[in-house]
Parts: sequence; structure tokens; C-alpha cells
Amino acid sequence: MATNTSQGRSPRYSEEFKSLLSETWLGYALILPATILVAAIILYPTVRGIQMAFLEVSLLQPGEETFVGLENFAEMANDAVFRTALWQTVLLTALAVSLQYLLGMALAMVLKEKVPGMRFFRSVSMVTWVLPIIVMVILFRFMVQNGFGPANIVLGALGLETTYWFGDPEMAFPLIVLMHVWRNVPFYAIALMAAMNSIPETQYEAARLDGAGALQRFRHVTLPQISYVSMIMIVLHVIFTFNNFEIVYLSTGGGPLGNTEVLATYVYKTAFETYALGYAASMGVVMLVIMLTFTAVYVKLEDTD
Amino acid sequence: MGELEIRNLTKVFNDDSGDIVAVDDFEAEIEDGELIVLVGPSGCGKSTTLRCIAGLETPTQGDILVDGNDVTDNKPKNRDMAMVFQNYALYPHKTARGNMAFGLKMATDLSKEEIDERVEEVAAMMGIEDLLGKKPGDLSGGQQQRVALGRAIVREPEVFLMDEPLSNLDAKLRTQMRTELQSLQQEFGVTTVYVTHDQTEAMTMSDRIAVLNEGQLQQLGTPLECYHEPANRFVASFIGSPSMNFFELELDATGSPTLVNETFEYELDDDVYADVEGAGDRFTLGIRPEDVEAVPADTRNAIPAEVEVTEPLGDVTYVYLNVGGQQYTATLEGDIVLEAGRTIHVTFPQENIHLFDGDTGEAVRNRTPPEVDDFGTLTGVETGTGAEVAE
Repeated sequence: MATNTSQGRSPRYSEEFKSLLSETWLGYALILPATILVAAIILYPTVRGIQMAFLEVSLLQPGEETFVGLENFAEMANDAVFRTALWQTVLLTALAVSLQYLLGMALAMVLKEKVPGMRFFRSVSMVTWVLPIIVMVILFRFMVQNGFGPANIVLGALGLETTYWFGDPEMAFPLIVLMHVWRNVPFYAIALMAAMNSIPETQYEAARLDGAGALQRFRHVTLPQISYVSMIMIVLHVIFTFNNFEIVYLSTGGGPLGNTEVLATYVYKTAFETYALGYAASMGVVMLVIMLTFTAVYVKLEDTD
Repeated sequence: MGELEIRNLTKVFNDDSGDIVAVDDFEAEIEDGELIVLVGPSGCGKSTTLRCIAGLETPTQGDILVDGNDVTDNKPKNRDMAMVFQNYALYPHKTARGNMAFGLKMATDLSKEEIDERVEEVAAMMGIEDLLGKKPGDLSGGQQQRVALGRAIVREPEVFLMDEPLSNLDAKLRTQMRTELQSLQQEFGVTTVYVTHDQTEAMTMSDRIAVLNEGQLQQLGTPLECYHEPANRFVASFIGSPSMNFFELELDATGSPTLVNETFEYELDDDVYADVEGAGDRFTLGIRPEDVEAVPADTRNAIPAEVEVTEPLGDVTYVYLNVGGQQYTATLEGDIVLEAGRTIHVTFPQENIHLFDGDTGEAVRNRTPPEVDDFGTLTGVETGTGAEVAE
């Protein structure tokens, strides 16, 4: 037995090594197409975008690129429209995401109840999330239309002021927030409901015997156990809202008077209406950095909690 | 004090398919410090009974009294009871310390230091001081079990409620925790209601057993009462392992009184007949496997039986016998090997048989309970010094 092993050792190891090598190469070969694809559609545009932020490029002369260093970023500091857009983006994101989270939580608790007809209501409540954004925007625009929009008909019947609300400098921004909330609350609700349903009923029973009231049970049993899903939903929607372009562009286009201008629409206009590709790219980089910082900090906080 | 009284407890669940009576008129008086085990097959209503006591379910009817005070309509937290759940129900995001302290934090106005002190005291007693900083996910099943117990103990309740607390543990740990639970319960002397489907747990742990079936209390008695003097056929079959053998027989009183079925006849002694006389003519004869005796073929009341399987356990051997197409078990002393297919003769000693009414299953005659073996008489040592020998 002993001699057998010592004789068989070296060829066996070289065999092992060869097979490992060939298996490893096969592995690399198999992930190569996916790697190339990812590099082409994600890595290249990102790197190119960051690179362009330090260049002056015009869409009208795509071949001509001048290195300008941090000039684009310096310009941003003096650009009042940029500052307004940044502030409005942050405000919109903060308002929309917090309202979505609170209302989503409330809806989740309603959907969790075992009441007849709840299955139907659960499906119906998802409609706003499933609707294409353009359909949603057209619906909203129709509703606040002067003269025949249902919102205005109701307001008119009550003897209140009627107007095309997306054109109203005071009301356009709240309406944008409302559209974000209206659209995403069901998604929060479904995710939070799933998280809540995964908490065993016996934990609530144990808490009841431990003397915890309904609010304390929510605070000490429910909340800590949905915090992970909450984090995912909040990060996801902060990124979604911060970067969202369609809702604003399709409903108000950033107006009236720039009152609903957000970074995404401003970047688009800078790139494709004033053809300043380099400047637009540098604003894109600022957005990227803000989002990366936010996500990293939030995930870290959630981790240590 | 923790005297628990349950009167006419009934719980009916309404379902789409109609009403389901989970607990039907349950009655029990549980003394202070007593450990009572509710045992029965799945769906017999034992857990529902426990949950009604805990206040997690509202009884349809009946009253629950602690020390004479009606707590039927009290919230769970106002009953001074603590419960240990089958899956432990620890809060996964809290440390063992947080889990144990939670009840004190919610229900008492103790200061943080006092709570810490009490938690540490109980943890030391349970041998889990080192685990206090860990979360349930980092603990083994046995450790979680201890934390769950600690969480109940730290509250110093009047009544402990335990819902199959050992069934998620492996067999070895279960046996160990069983003894540990018992000694803890004796140490604290807290009234305990313990639910299990495991009759071994019921037999070994309890002061008294309540056997339930289909929502109805079948018998409430000491483990040995339930074992030797079962109230009915259900209790007889449920308590004891391997379970009791049953034979359906008819009484033929024309000659000397004899129980008859298609396969064999069993002639009754006069004193046994005296008990069954006038109780109808259909009976179920019950005999525990360990009371079955192998005898020569010409013995009185010898019954021929074909050996199907033998299971030697070392000290005893389980012999599975075929009598009239049905399988029965005999526990025979020693290491016996019997080849399958061989016919042997067995008999049932008259003093050890149980007779149940063939229709209702009620016990008509139970075996004579064996004398309680006294350790002193067994060993020849006087009772006073017997304890030392036992140490």
C-alpha cells in the first residue's frame, strides 16, 4: 500500500494540476463573453463619461476635444440653474422617498390583514406601479387639465380656483412629488408586507406575554426585522428618484420658470439642447458621486445598527 | 402562589367548513408548584388549551382562575404567566441579554441596573453567562432553548406555560434538557403547564398528566395512574411504549365465562368476571407488551401466535406476533432470537389484563396496580440510609 502511494503520487499530482489548469482556463473562457459585454455596455460608457467631464466637447464638433481640467466643475459652482436643479432634486428625492416609505408601510399593514376581498385589493393596488410612466403622466395631465380635467371639475364645483396645475409655479413641484409617490407606494407596500409576513407570529405572541403593547410590538419586533428590506427599498428609490428623468420631462419639462428643474432634465438639456457635452458629463459625475456616497453611508449605517 | 383553575374551558374555531371544537369542556385544578403535562396526538386541543390559559386565544366558554382571581378576560401581560414556545420565538435582532430583559423592560419599572442584575443572575443559574452578548442566530438549538427558558424565568411569573419546548432538539439533548427542566421547575416551585405529544416526556416529567383527545379530557392523573389504570381505551393506547395490545372479544357466559373471538378463547377467572358481569357482552381486552408471557402450548388460555419480526434490544426483546391476521407486540425478557414464521404460545396473566367496553371504550376492569417498589425493601437497606445509597 505504502509503496503504491509513493509511486503514484507525482503523476497523480501532475494530473490534478493539469485538470485544474484546464478547468480553470475553461472557466475563464466561459465568462469571457459576459465580461466583454459588461465592459462594452457598462464599463466603457462610465469611463468615457468620467473622462468627458474633464474635457470641453460640443455635440456639434464631436471630434474636437480640449482638456480643461476642473473648469467644468468650477462653472457649476457659478451656475444658478444647476444649483436650483440640485436643490430641487434633493428636495424631491427626500420628500418623495419619505412619503413613499410611510404610505407604503401603512398600505403594507392594510394589505397584511386577512379580510375578505383582500387578495383582489392587493392586485388592484399594484396597478399604479405596473403602468408605463408615459401613461401615468398623460393621466395626470388630463386630470389637471383646465376645463375638462376631473380635478378641476371637482374644484370648480366647490367654487375653488381652477387652472392647468402643471403650469402653476406653486403647484407644479408638489404635483411631481405626488406622481412619484403615487407610482411607487405599492412597490414599497408589497416589499414591506413580504418582510412583515416572514416574521413568525410566535414572536408577537411572546412580546404580548412580555407585556408589549401594539406600538411597542411594532417598534421592537416588526421594525427591526423589516429594516433590511427597508434599506433596499430606500436605496433603490433614492437612486431612482434622484436620477429620474421621464416623470419631470414628460409632465413639465422642468418648467414653469425652472420650478421643477431637476439634475436629470438639466443634464439632458445641456447635452442635447445647448450641445455642451463636457459640461453635461461633469454634472453626471457629480450625480454619480452623490449617489455613491449616499449608498455607501446608508449601507454602512444599516450594517452597524 | 400559583394555583391555576380551569373551568369548563371550551374553544370553538369558526372556519369556512363550519365550527371546529378544539377544546371541549376542559376542567382542571392545578396546585401551586405542580407540573402538569397536557398530552395527546396532534390536533387534540392541547396547544389551544395552553394558548387560552396564556390569553393568546379567547375561550368561547369557561373561566381561567389564578389564585381564585378570574383572569379569563385579562390581556396576556396581565396574567403573570411566562411562556416558552416550541420554536423559542426569540427576537432575532436582540442579543440573549436583550431577549431576557425585554419582558422586564416592558412590564416592570425596574431600573436598567436592576434588570441587568436579574438577567445575569438567571443567566448564571442557566449556565449561559457567556452567551448574553450573542444573538439567537449565533446560538445552537440547545442554547436558544436555554435563553428562551431564561427569558421566562427572569420574569418570576406565577405560572410557566411550555408549548412543546423540547421537540426541536435532538434526542440526546432532549433527554438532558428534560431532566434540567424538571430540576429547574422543582427549584423554583413554579406552577407549570407543559404541552407535549411525547408520552415519554409526559410520563417522566409530570406530577400529573392530562390526556386529551379530540378536544376532550380523557384522564387527569399521575403518570402511573394513567399507565396502570387508564380511564379508557384511548388513554391505554396512548400511554406506554410500545403501546398496549387490544383484542376485540365477545363474552360467552353459557359455560364458564369465556371471552371469544375467531382466533382464540380466553377463560375468565371468577374475580375478573365479577367486574365485567352485566357490562354488556362485547369487550376489548388490553394487555401491555411486557405483561405478555410465552408459555407451553398446553397452558390454560394459551394463544398460538406466529412470529413476524423480533427486535432484540439487549435487555429485552420486542417480538411482533401475528394473531388472527393482526400484529401484536410482546416484550420478552432477555436476548431472544425467534425465527420469523415460527409459532409460539403466549398468554395474558389475568391480574394484568385490562377490559374495556367494546362500544364506548370505557375501562371496565383495570389491572391491579403493582406494589410501589420501595428502595429500602429492594436493597435490604433501611429507608433512612437508602437515600445515601442512592446518591
